[in-house]
Amino acid sequence: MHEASIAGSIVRSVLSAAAEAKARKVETVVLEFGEWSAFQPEQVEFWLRIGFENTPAASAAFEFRTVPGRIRCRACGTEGPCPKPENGAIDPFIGPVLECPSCGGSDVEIMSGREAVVKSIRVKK
Amino acid sequence: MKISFPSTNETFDLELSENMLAANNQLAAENRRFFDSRGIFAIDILGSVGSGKTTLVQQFVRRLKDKKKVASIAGDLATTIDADRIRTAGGEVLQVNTGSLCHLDAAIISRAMSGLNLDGLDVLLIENVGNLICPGEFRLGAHCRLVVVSVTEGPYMIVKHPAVFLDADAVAVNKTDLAGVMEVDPERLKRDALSLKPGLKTALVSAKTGEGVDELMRLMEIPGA
Ligand SMILES: Nc1nc2c(ncn2[C@@H]2O[C@H](COP(=O)(O)OP(=O)(O)OP(=O)(O)O)[C@@H](O)[C@H]2O)c(=O)[nH]1
Ligand SMILES: [Mg+2]
Ligand SMILES: [Zn+2]
Repeated sequence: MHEASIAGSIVRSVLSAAAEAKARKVETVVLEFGEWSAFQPEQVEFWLRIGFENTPAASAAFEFRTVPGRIRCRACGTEGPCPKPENGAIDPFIGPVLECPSCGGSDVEIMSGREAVVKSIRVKK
Repeated sequence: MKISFPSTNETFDLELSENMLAANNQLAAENRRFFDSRGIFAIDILGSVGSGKTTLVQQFVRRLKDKKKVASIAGDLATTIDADRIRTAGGEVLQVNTGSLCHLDAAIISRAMSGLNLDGLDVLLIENVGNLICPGEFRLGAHCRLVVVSVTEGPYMIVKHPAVFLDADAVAVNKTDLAGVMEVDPERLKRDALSLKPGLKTALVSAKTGEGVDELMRLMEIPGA
């Protein structure tokens, strides 16, 4: 349940920002997860509901956004998105492997697509 | 908190842009500085339940203990079974029970360091919780991350779990003594790992018989190997 740990960090971050702003209520929490991050939004939301119980964010709505994945190929230098191969998904947990769209090499560095970020919150004074 | 601007009279949007993995990454970097300042070579050992992590740690400890000072941290949800097993091989061991947490994190390692005798310590072996998925996102600050995958997990273990191998430094294909009965080709698992991440240090080993363990340790550049 690694989503529980990330949810714990989100709860701390949101509640401390809300307290600092002297907000009475958190209405919306905007979260950004990378296309290839290992966190499942449904699981994160489950733990957030528990973590926010009896807090100013108890009835907050969650907005999950996906950060597109970008790669850099160590072989040919290509940088950019990594389109899904025709035969399937490229979720790192399901495979197949990320391949450079230019040269087909697999020695690629992930530039973005694995983040877990609290983007913003909407609060009520 | 960076920007804050009014949306309506009493509703505000607060821009946070806080990276939720940053706290762990920062602690991991602190752990690394701590290890470096004391000349400790730390290894994070990952692998599915039963892949042979503890058996391999026992082999490492037996080979190192006369030359180097070795300590181990055994991470498990519960029990001290693994720590007790490693202790029989020699060296100091600390059991860390994570309860419901499916992985070790940098904070756990930082706290665990205070429970170990660090005087003259050369090598720290950290056995992560048996799990090939969750620990991947949480760096500990170790110098080398070793993933143990065994032929008994079948031929598709690496292609099905690429993420953890992308973040690894070394891979041990374990239980090669059972490759025949399992009808799994260890060389193929090795090729899968290398095609995911060229340059990965890979070795075929049997943690039971000890075959290949010396080569693995040399590849990982463990002091005293
Ligand atoms: N035949 C054979 N058995 C092995 C080998 N390595 C480990 N085993 C056996 O596999 C079982 C599990 O090994 P462990 O070392 O406890 O595995 P682990 O990865 O530490 O397991 P957890 O800590 O529970 O996740 C034990 O019965 C070991 O004796 C090997 O190379 N060959
Ligand atoms: Mg074990
Ligand atoms: Zn390329």
